[in-house]
Amino acid sequence: MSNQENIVITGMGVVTPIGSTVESTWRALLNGDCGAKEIRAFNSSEHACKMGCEVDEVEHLSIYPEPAGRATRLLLPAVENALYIAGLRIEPGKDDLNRYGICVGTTMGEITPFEDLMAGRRSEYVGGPGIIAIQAADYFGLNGPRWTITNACAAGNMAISRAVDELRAGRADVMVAAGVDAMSWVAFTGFVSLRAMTPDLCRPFDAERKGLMLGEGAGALVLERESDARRRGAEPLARLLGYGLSSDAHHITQPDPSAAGSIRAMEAAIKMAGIDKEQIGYVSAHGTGTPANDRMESVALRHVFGDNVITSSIKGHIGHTLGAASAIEAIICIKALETGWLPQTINMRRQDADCRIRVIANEPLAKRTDYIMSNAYAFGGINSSIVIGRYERDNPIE
Amino acid sequence: MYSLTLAGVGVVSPAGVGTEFLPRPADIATWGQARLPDIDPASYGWDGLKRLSRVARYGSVVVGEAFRSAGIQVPLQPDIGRRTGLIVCTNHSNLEPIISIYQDALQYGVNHVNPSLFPETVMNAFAGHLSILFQIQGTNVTLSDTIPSAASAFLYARDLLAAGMTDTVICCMVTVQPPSIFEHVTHKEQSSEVESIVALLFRKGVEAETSTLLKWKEITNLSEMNEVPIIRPSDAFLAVASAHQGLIHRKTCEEQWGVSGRSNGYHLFSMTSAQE
Repeated sequence: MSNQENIVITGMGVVTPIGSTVESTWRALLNGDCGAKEIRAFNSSEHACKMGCEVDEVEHLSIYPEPAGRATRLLLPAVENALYIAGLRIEPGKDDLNRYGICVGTTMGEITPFEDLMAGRRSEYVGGPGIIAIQAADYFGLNGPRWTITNACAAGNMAISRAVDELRAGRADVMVAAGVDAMSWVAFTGFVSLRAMTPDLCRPFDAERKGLMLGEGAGALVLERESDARRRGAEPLARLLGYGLSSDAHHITQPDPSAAGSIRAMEAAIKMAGIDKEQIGYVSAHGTGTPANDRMESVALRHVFGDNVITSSIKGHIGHTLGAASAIEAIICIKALETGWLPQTINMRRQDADCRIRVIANEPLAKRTDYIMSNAYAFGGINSSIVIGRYERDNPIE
Repeated sequence: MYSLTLAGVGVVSPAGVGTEFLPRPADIATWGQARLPDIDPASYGWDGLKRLSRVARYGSVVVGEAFRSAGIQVPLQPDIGRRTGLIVCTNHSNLEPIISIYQDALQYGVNHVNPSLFPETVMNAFAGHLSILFQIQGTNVTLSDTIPSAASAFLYARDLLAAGMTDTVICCMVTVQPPSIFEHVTHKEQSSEVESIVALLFRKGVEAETSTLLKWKEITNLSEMNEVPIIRPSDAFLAVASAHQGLIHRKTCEEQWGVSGRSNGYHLFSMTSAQE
């Protein structure tokens, strides 16, 4: 963190309920596709809510050579795609594997083995959050810094921030920052118990929204110091300019309605990025579709940006993928920078009057911007914001 | 070589609350399989914690004791709270609540589960409770590596302090055994035997008589650890608390030990008085 050398993103990969690659997910997002359908990962016939956003045929995403749980199966293809796009072929014996690290953010971790046992089924997999990073590091030869960050729904952003730290401190040359969560009976039943789940569709910022929809997926980004990336001939996709983290110290599940912590996180991210807040052209909102979250975030956005900010949430498309959410959203922000299209919030009918912000509703918006912020919040009062900037090699933004 | 100034300590161990009865770092392993005792936080002056889980109650006690021993009043004033960070290492503390949520669903139906259970199945609920109780508003991170890594937590704390993001960082490690039903599906690389919950309070630029200096480095040549006792990763926080106790009471002037981490690496630790 003392070394402020530029950090660039050179690779990215996703597995989402609407696409198994960045390009297919991006096209589906702009097309307004929605991944909502009846849950199949477990029997939800007795649950009041039965809908979720699942990834099809997770069982076929089995690239790990040994039995592995659903979260690892989701993550590995995303990391593989990210490394491929980054042009990294990690070769033992040729490369110093200790210079390649990984940060994984997750909420429930590899929970399938625990759920199998509780449901009276056998389990042949190891469970827990940390096993995901171990298996990913083992498979791809990422023997450097390894972190498992379990800050719930902000874990993806926090994994990205830690990857930045590791690179700036010079403790690694390449960091994979990832977020992953698999569809979980515990999370599904838990959100039902909190009356936080919508029975039909997720409608962030809508006046008649009924809550969040649970999703699953993975997102992975390859981060490097710009000088290293250029040296090896990589073509950076974007710049990771700054992050801000804070804690509400208010309530274990509810955000602080004053939004003080969220405001601090956003302001810290802008400060680290070294830009003016007016330069942020779009904010990828956490936008879960719960009234408490959407209203708090609206207060924070208005406080920081006034009336000028444009925002949207992709959770209507893919549900709330928990620890994966902000990693996937960071990748969507990079596509927005690259293409000049900002993704829309789908399922919007009438915007909540208490969310006095400019939400891109139902149709994508054509707008080129150089800087984007992505927010993520979590149980325990966690606030996180990151700032991503366009990468222009010949005229770098400093 | 990294370093941090340790200004406050709180411990719940098989020996109870406090550091007085901790064995020296080299002797912690002699405790064998030792579980946490039943304690009432109110007996130690920490009231109003009954609604929290056992682990969160104990965590509240140790973080409170760490603040107390560092001479910091809690709950923190906003300007101090915003400059205070919290780093928690835990990997099994959510497993009892996972069992509870299944039991509740079995008893009352999947739509009538006690809503207070779900947050506790999320690993960072523990840190969330601590942040609310003590008004810690800075960076709040929960690390859940399969091998509990003191070096990772300390490195994160060191980074936060060095970058000027915080003035104080609490590092807290929760070491509890997984419920027996889950034992065979939890990672077995180096299971813990001694249960403990330990909070260490690190501050920038403090050199009081009650402060100690913690140094550590990763080593690749294991011969560097030939002359020092080797302890398990899960006992690393206990070792720091024990060494701190010995140093501030002048029982020793320096402690050294190694931590075996296998896939997380090997680390050499040393502690001295912060004033020397």
